Amino acid sequence: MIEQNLKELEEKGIYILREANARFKNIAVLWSMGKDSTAMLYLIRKAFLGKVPFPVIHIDNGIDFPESYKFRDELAKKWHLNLIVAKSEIKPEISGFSCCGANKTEALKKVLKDHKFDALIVSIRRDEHSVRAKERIFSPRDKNFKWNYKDQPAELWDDYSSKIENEGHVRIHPLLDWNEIDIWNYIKKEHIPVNPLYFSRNGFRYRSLGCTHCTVPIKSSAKTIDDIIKELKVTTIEERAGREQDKEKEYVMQKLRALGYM
Amino acid sequence: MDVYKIVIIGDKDAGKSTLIGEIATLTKSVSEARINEAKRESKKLGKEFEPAFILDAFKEEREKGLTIDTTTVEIPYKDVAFQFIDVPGHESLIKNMLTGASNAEMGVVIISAKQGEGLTRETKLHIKLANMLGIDKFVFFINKMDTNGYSKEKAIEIWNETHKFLLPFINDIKYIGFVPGSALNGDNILKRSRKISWYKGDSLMERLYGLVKNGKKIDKNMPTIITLQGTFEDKIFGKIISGDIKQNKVYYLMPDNKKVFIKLYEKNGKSVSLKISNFNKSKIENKLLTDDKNSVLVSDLINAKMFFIRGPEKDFYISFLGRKYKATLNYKGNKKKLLFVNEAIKLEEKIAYQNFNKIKELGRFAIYDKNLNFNGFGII
Amino acid sequence: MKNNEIIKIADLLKKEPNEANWEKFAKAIKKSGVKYYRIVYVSLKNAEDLTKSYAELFDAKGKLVTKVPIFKRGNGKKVEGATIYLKGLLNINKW
Repeated sequence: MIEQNLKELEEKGIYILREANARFKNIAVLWSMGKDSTAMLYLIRKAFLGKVPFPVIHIDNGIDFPESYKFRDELAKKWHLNLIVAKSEIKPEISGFSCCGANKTEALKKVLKDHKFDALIVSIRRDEHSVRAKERIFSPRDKNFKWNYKDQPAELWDDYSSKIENEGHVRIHPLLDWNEIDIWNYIKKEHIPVNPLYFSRNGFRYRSLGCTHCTVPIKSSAKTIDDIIKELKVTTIEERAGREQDKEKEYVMQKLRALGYM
Repeated sequence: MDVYKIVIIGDKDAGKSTLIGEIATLTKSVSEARINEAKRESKKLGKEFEPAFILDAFKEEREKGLTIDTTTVEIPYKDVAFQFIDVPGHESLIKNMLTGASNAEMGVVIISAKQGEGLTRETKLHIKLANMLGIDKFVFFINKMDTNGYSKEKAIEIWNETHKFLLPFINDIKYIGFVPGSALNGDNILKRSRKISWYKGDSLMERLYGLVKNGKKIDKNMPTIITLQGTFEDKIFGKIISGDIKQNKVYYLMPDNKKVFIKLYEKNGKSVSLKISNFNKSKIENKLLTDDKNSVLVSDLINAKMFFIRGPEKDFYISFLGRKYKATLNYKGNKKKLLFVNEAIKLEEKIAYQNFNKIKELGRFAIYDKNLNFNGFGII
Repeated sequence: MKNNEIIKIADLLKKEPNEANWEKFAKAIKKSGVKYYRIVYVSLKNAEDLTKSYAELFDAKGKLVTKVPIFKRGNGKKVEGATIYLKGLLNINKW
């Protein structure tokens, strides 16, 4: 995995966040207590003089990990977050993902509408999935959250489009160019708090976090951030394509589920 | 690790996908199993093999055929990493091609040496656009040399044709390289191929590596220029685009030409937060600070070389340093699509800018039409 | 035995998983010897299915103390997830 220059990534992330602040009137941040969205909250504090000046939304389906709830409440207190918990229902879903997917989207739509948010800061990265590789830094969504990937806005140099389609909103992606290993390196460097689920207990840990229903752990003995970084470096592409392919598939499918609602 | 962005220009038929796939395989960035799987999947779907398929690990995504936008492939090589940006070729997708190419530092152009192929009209347009966006280093990879017996004559023929095409804007290009080879057989991609015995240069990857390693020039004695983004509480956010912040120096807010004193509050690389004395907070967005008034030009009448995707209009918008300005163009010539125009435009208000080849951040703008739809870009 | 309290409340929850009982549970869990949880989903096609799923609670040695539901029944019979009340416990990571 390619480890990029953290200073440059951070500098660009801060620039993007400050651009968003200048262009939009009512911004919110999406938080899942995962490593990416937590690192993003930290980056927001860096960009805005130690504060998170936007409301932080947690789309809660009620069956998240107890560890995540604890992590959420403690960090919200510590960092003085303006936390909005938007409850999502567990409903029958066409694709079979009953807890994530469309149901979280409904809750997100409602919270955006109720508060009239015009921009949403989201922690997705290009390397998470090839679908995300196509995203823009400022990515518009229409009022039905449809992502018109066939006709995305132009983004020349660091000029980010801020045209909002009627009743839509714009997604801001400050971590788009970061790799998974960059996130962990940043967490290590800056001592960013981490959800305990990422660390191994009884030979298992979670590499990505969804809710208690759809998340499956991986076999790992990584107990510290250094262990996790080492593990990431050693897991070569060959390993994933070969022996570990099923696990990789499952991991990616989980991500799809988690991201699907966005 | 430093990551260098390289845009790959060329016809689909010239072998772009095969080249990216081959680079990925040879450098072991993507497993051969995955590439073969991608080839099998695309065949099954009746689609042509595209670089995007290497990244698409699952059926769902390939079936959706997400090949409409830019795709990036990160390839580690020695002590650096290259981010190859593949851009769509179709005219209707030029907006996406511009987005992908605008952040690249150099370009690899693939030209097929196969009889009947060669330098296409589309590739010529992309080279011109890439150069106008700011890319001044190009490596031309003459592909499919295996179809003509690795003929020196054929390679030189293409060489000459390309050179002739580049002549009108050769002064805007700092480096031109040529590498003959074959993506299919891996000739001259990673290593020098013995089959092309008459060619004494290095392989494509070695050439790119040499270029990035010799790349960065540090210009000393540059004026300090900070573009301002917006305010937050009592601070101002900005980005240093030239020089570095020196405290206790006089700065000028441009284009207003107002003297101000600044105090650096926080610095994160080039992103800074400042305290500025002596000014009206509400009117600083998209303006800039400089410690040398002569480092920028101020006017509302700008001479620019512009590219209009759907053709030029009289009234439109430009997006300069993140803000949109109304612009008027008096263009008397033919109004057709994909047009290059060298003209003066009048803006609704004065801006502080600079020539593109002096300070690129201050010499470029995106073009939007009356309805705020993207319509091209311009270079001052 | 310090787990008597939590077992009693768990039984209450099995009959009536309402807000008031869950609040009692949240208070009692801190004083009990329960350290780990394991959630068992039977199926999850809709919110009602949550009523078939449950959480097993274990002590520090990994011994099963009791089981509790993982849903909350609000006014008007609406079913909501309730794993938040297990805050403070750790996943036992054993299947």
